[in-house]
Amino acid sequence: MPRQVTLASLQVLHAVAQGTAYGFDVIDETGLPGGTVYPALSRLERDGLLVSSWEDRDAAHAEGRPPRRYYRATAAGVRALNGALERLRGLRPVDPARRPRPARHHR
Amino acid sequence: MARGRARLVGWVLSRLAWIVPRSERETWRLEWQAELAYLAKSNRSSALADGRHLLAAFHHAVWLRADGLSLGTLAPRRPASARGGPGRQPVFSLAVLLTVALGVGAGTAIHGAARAVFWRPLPYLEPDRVVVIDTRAKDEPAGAPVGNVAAANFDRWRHGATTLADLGAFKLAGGTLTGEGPAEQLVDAAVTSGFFRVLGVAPIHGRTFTAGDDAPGGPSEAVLGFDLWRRRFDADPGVVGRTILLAGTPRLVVGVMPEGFRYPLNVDLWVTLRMTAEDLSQDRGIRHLGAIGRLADDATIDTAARQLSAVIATATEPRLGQAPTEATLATLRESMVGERRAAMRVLVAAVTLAWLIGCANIASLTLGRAADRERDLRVRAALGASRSRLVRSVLVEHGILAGLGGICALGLAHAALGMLAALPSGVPYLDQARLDGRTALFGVALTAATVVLSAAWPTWRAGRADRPLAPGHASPRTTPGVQATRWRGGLVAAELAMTVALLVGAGLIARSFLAMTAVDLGFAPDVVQAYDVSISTRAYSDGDRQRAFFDDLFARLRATPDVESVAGTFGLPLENFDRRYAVRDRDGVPVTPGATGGPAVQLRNVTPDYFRTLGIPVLAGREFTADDRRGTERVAIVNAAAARLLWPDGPAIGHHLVVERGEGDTRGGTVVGVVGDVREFGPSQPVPPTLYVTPGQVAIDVLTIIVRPRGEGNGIDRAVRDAVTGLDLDVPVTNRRTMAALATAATFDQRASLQVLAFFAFTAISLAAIGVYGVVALDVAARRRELGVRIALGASRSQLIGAVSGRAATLAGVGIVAGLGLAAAGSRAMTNLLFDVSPVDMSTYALAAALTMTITIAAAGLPARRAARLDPTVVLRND
Repeated sequence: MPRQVTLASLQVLHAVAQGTAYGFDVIDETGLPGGTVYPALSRLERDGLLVSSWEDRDAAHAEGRPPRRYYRATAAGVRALNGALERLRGLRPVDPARRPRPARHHR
Repeated sequence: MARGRARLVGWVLSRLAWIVPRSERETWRLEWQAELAYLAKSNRSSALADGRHLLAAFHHAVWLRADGLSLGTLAPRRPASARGGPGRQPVFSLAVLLTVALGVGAGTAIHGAARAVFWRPLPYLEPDRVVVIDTRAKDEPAGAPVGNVAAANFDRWRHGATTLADLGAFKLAGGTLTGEGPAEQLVDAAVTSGFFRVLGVAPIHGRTFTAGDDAPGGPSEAVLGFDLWRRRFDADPGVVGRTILLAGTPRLVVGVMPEGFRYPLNVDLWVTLRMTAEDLSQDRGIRHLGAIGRLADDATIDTAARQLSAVIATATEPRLGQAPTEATLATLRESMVGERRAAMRVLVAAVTLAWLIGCANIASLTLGRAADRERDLRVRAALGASRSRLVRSVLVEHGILAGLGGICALGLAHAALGMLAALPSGVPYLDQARLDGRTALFGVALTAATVVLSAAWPTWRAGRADRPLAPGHASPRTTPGVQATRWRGGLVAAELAMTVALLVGAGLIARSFLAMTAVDLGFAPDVVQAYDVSISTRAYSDGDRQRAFFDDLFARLRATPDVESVAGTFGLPLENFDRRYAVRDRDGVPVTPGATGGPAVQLRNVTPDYFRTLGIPVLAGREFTADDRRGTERVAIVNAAAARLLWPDGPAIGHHLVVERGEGDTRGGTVVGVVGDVREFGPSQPVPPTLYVTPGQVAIDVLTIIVRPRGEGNGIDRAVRDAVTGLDLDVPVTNRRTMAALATAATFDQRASLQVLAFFAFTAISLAAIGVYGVVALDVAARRRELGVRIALGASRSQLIGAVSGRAATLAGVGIVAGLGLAAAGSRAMTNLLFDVSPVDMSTYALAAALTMTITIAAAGLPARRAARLDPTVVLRND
């Protein structure tokens, strides 16, 4: 289990677990900047939550481009994702109109 | 286009790849190549998108290099406490990029301009050996324009000067090219055969003039300029050998010059200059030739100047009351750009300061970021991480950001140089400023210097991270960065110092400019338009015909409803027309005895209505009238400066005044009027004492026509051309200009310096404001705990703001004092550009200091107020 999963990493992990396999598609899916998505992918992979492999060479060449690297969530990744989602589910929306005011400590 | 971009993207990727640790490099490269190729295949690739993706690849690469330690704060893992601080990555990247683009861009543009004007080799053979020769009396002030050589002296040098390997003369004129297509106004230079030899430029077709072409009775020939040849003759080499009609004179085309050769000004073509025996007999008085020479192998400028002066001295007898004429020599470059050097030096200083401020800012931003992760680094270092790796990653990150910024900078410089070149500045060769290889190389070097300078300090500090943790840092709850904050404080103080210096510079120039525009030029430039009309053709060989032509022309123009008044003059104010002569009374005695040559006065030849048309007040007596013609008593008018100089104790009117221009050729007469002073050489130059005579009483073949229109004057161009062509189809009207444009051009140096300095000062103060904001914000972040405790203990809001801003105020104080010293030391170099303001003008200095202080307080105010709103419970619990 990683030391901490940021919201952005969680979004990336979520997108991959949902079947979005390629880096750019994750960018499209999550709306996160590329400078966030790729390091997140690398970190999730290093932490064992994702694994990567290469697209079929012939299929790529048929389209006249090199094979892409694609990502899949591991069992640990899915567990971590669901655990995190469970924790998030405990949070409730806050009504801005009835936001409790912090007590004043000075003046 | 797209293919080129793909190649560029591939190139950048392969450079970025070496950031990635070797074990992962290949995987990284293949993945990014594939992703970018995929995007290109699916038509989602654009220059902007590629740039963004490369930035993402860069972040990815740095992340991998940092091994996930969040060394790249690029990874999405920043502590919440640092959010909103100055070190957030996109802000950081953008700030560095913009700073480099602006700083390096401005520096590169100035380099390009300086190169065009000062350094780029002139397109002549050994240009350092080419000298421009001028003659003036010993007591004549320097600074008069070139073109002051008498034909007789030129001829003497041609035969007697051994220090010059070759000698050429030229005389500018405007001519109409007729026949084969529409008539066209051209600028032509009549030159001697030596002219082309001196410059050492070979024609691309045919030949130039040969010795003997310029002898009296020689052939009438022309050499075409490249632009004219291409425009008018379709670049046909067969034009050599044909005859063209210029100003009504047939001329045989003998050659075509290469592109870019337009000496002495923007000349369209060159014709033979033939000096008649009459020309050669004219001595000293008429000095209308420009002369250039090529130094002999063993000669220097000094030896040549001595010899040429000696030749004049032995050939002519010193005349009573007149200082001997001397030859002055200057290199080609010096004669063109001499007095611009001061302006250029100031610009270079300003751009250097702005660039240094930029470097300090990047360093300061980097330090701020480093402080954010200092503890991380220390822990890492304590665990044995390699320091060189950390250092390298900082350098690489800077290098790549700066590289991108550098590319933007080159684009900016290219655009700026294009704009500069298009300016109607009158600065020689500035129109050829462009981003050439050497200037681009300079930009690249400047970018590299920026990286080294701005990364050196942070890198050095990162290198110290391997020391054991200080006791103060033992608690993980302490925010690190206090020390970094001190360094940043020093940088910000330095920035503020440079900002003050720039503000003072801009302020001094602004004051000079205002003072200069407030100077009364002595005439009303507003709507007056001027044209040159030359009748130096055979049809007007004697004075009577010349006078008749201009009388007819003025009569026609006066009858035009659009024309309020019209006059003619030989030489306009603000065009550096400088003809000075010693004056004597009727008996040949200098007016003020004792002085070597008596006072020198300007001689101006003007028709009736000159003063009315230009709006020069008549202070006493009268203007010239149509009755002042040949055969009547010769009359003269002096300006107030001349009246004060010559007759300080009484009225000028009634005195007799004469200048002698040549063999028995005298000008002048009885003074009948005194007119107001005119700043003939610009608002910053003193008014020359001036003697006006009228061509009604002397012959004149070239006149500048000045017209004051009724109303806007839109139809004046046409009216003038119609009036001239109505009299004679072959008389050209050239060189249209407005007096208002001349007045504007007279302050061009100050105006341009002001704009550029104002731009740099603005850039500097913006950057400094960012720097101040950053350092105070970091300070606040570093002192959150302390501030929280203070709040909890009941500190008031103003006490908190004071505690935070106090530091900013100290920085500002130190910076401002240093800046004032810097400005005082530097502004001396600007003395030449200043007018009516001391380089240590107190109010300018005070204003610059006050402005800097205000900006500092404003920039510090934001984080200070934020500090005052801190919630102590949150601070103490979370940190």
